[in-house]
Amino acid sequence: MEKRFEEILKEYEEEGREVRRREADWDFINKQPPRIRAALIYYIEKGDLRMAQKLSGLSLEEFIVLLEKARIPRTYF
Amino acid sequence: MFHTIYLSESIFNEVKSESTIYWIADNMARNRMALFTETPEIREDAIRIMRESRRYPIKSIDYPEAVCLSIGRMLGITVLSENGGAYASQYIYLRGVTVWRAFEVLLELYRRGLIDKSEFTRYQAETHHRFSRRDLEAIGIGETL
Repeated sequence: MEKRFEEILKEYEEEGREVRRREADWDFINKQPPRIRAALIYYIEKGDLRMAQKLSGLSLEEFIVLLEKARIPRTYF
Repeated sequence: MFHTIYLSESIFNEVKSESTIYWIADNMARNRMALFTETPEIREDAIRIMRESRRYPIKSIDYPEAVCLSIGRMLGITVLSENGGAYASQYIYLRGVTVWRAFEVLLELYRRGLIDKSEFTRYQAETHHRFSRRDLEAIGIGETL
């Protein structure tokens, strides 16, 4: 992988994480059952929608609705 | 911009909400969308793509996206995906595949004069999806929401 592209991807990932952390409704997240809370926090930290959805035990659509309730924006990276 | 949008069965099977099913059915009835049934070759190729994706320090690809990438590669058609791993793959290990996110779709509409820049902001507000600062700055929009 080209070094420059690797740096750009890292930049994208860091920005995405920062936006998700900043905009998330942490009160809502902290009131969720442990499995759901863990999945939401995983998404905030990693931005990996499919893995976070699997962790939650919800369908993809249900998990996306949950992200909206938790005010966690979706990002590409 | 696109004559027909093919929807792979793997992606279709993830759709549960009635409103989305209705939207798909309506577009299929108008011949704007079509279901793409996966062949054994595409399934095998998708698994190869998933394995390949795990070799790189970027988000790995899951089966539904891998199927779309395989179809895109085999037919030479643009893959529409909001998955960052799928998007990055075209620059790293899937040369020859074109992946567009909603950002590229909006950008093309903007370049053709069909929408103005405010649609980028509206899209983010309506979908709870955030475009990156770098992408927005490239088209002269300095702020994310």
